[in-house]
Amino acid sequence: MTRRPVVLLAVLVLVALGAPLVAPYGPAERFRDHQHAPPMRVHVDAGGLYAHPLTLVDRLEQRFDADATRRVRLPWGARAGAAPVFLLGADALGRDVLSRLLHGARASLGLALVATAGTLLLGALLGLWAGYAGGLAERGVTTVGDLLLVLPLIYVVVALRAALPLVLPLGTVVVALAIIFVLLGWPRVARGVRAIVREEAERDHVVAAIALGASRWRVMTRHLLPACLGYLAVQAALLVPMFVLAEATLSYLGLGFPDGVPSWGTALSDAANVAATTRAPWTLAPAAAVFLVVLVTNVLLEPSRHDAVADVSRSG
Amino acid sequence: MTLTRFVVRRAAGGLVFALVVASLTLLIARLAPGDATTGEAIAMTVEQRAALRADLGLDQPLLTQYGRWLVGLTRFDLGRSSLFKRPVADLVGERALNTALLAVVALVVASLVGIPLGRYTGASHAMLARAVGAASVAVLSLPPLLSALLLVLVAAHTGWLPAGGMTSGGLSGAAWLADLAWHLPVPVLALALPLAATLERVQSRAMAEAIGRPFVDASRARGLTRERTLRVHAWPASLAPVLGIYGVLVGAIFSGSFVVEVVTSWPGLGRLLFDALLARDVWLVAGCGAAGAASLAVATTMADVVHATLDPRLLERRG
Repeated sequence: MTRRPVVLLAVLVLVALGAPLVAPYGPAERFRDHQHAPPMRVHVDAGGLYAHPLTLVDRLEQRFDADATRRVRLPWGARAGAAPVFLLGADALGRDVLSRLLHGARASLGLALVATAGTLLLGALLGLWAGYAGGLAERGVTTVGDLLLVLPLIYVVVALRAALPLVLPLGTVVVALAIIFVLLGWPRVARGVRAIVREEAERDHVVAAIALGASRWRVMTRHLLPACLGYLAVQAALLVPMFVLAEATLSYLGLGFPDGVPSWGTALSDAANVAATTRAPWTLAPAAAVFLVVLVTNVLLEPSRHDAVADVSRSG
Repeated sequence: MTLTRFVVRRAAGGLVFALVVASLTLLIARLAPGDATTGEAIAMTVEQRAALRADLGLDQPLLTQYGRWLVGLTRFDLGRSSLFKRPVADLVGERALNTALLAVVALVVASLVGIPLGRYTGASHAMLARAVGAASVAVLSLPPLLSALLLVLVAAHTGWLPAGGMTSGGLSGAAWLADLAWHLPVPVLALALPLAATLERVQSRAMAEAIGRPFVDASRARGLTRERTLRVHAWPASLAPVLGIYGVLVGAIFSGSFVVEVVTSWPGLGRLLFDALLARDVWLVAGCGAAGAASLAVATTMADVVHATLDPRLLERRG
């Protein structure tokens, strides 16, 4: 059962690292005469795929006509100076939505994956400690953890982020958001790890290891941690969409990534203008990307989720 | 443990919880850089700004401020909002009511849609049941942020429904009520869709599990019809996990309503907290924290009490 979440995480890491490399245009590259250009239809001929270039008919109404007499190849490997091809349309500033979506994957998935790694580390450590040491440590970890689990996540994230200076440089934002996510996410991991450790610590192989004089650290990392790996993998796969959504919400509110950084959340906040979005619904493409990440997780983990059903839905 | 003791214990816990959360929000808001006068500082002399800070009680040491706030709390005096120039208690009460309206209607809609659908999909292997189940997984993956954006877009595009706000203003009586009902569907649906899908999934799984139990076979063997067996024996037995999930759904509604309120401009508690945070309106932030935590505690307690009344085994397990 651990294979699915691990494969899913590996794919997400690949997308985060690789997506910007296959983007046809730069994230900030603007095409002046193609503001809110619609997605172009792709045709096939003997030379491969092509599209008809768009010409601006009415700048005020933002209407475009496809020039059926001309053909342009898809932007990958196209000659310099060729007319731009927008597979998912262009946004209000004439930037390619597909390219911004692919570049945004790095920021959105990258932050979520870093926060997930941190959450797993802190959650596993605290869970191991609470489960193995018992007593006061266990009570402290479970009390604080339960309090955090009851709080609606998004309120706390927004409150903590809003308490920091509103304008911060990119590096600081990433670190601050990752720390906030880790501080709020760890109880989900620690709760399960603690329960597994408590059960596992009674087993013969652990008792034997202690009797043979293994150190606490060795017992915890070599004998107790391996029992938690499957649980950790599933939790990791559930945390990533939660954090992707948290980033999207924060950036939508203007509290996430700075304006110039392409991420799925900042793209959504650009699309928040209702009048502009009704005119160019394709600018909501990042919403589809977020939806896809959550959907794939839900479908792949459906049988192994148990009470976690609510975890994803409450993250909204 | 009796039900009364259970309720009293939960209420006391809820009170402590609300106090802790409110104090923490106050602390967070107070430690944030800048205060309510920062935004207007450029238009004021140093003396005017100092006077305004004194008026808002911001010139006192942190502990004095906290003490005064606690004393005020016993009289339901939560201070004055610098952003809205009104007493915080009035403002928070008003907005909390709007949020409650949104949340209750959404929960009712979600239950009326999700539970019957789950009852059906859990007991059937037909293509339609599978299609509903698959659609439910898809809707479950549509968090309130996305469903709200999508519904606002649809509403704006078709012009069938208003895309935001709660009332059009300038109306009263029956016209006001009709106008309110006209503004409800977009935010309610945005909030209710993921909840309905969650309920459908849980009910479906519980129903399928109940059908596998021996008493269902026994009932069929006694000659009861399939319909009657499902209604009288299987469904009631499947309700325990469904009722259990309501406690969790309360948290989902709180998170969800915040996002939905911001996207659809619904004047609720979530939007108020967001505005207050950005304006560094500390007393309003603390008031929202207190009201939010108190309603969260009340809602989860209510969910648990209903659950415990219907399934008394819970009391024994906890006692």
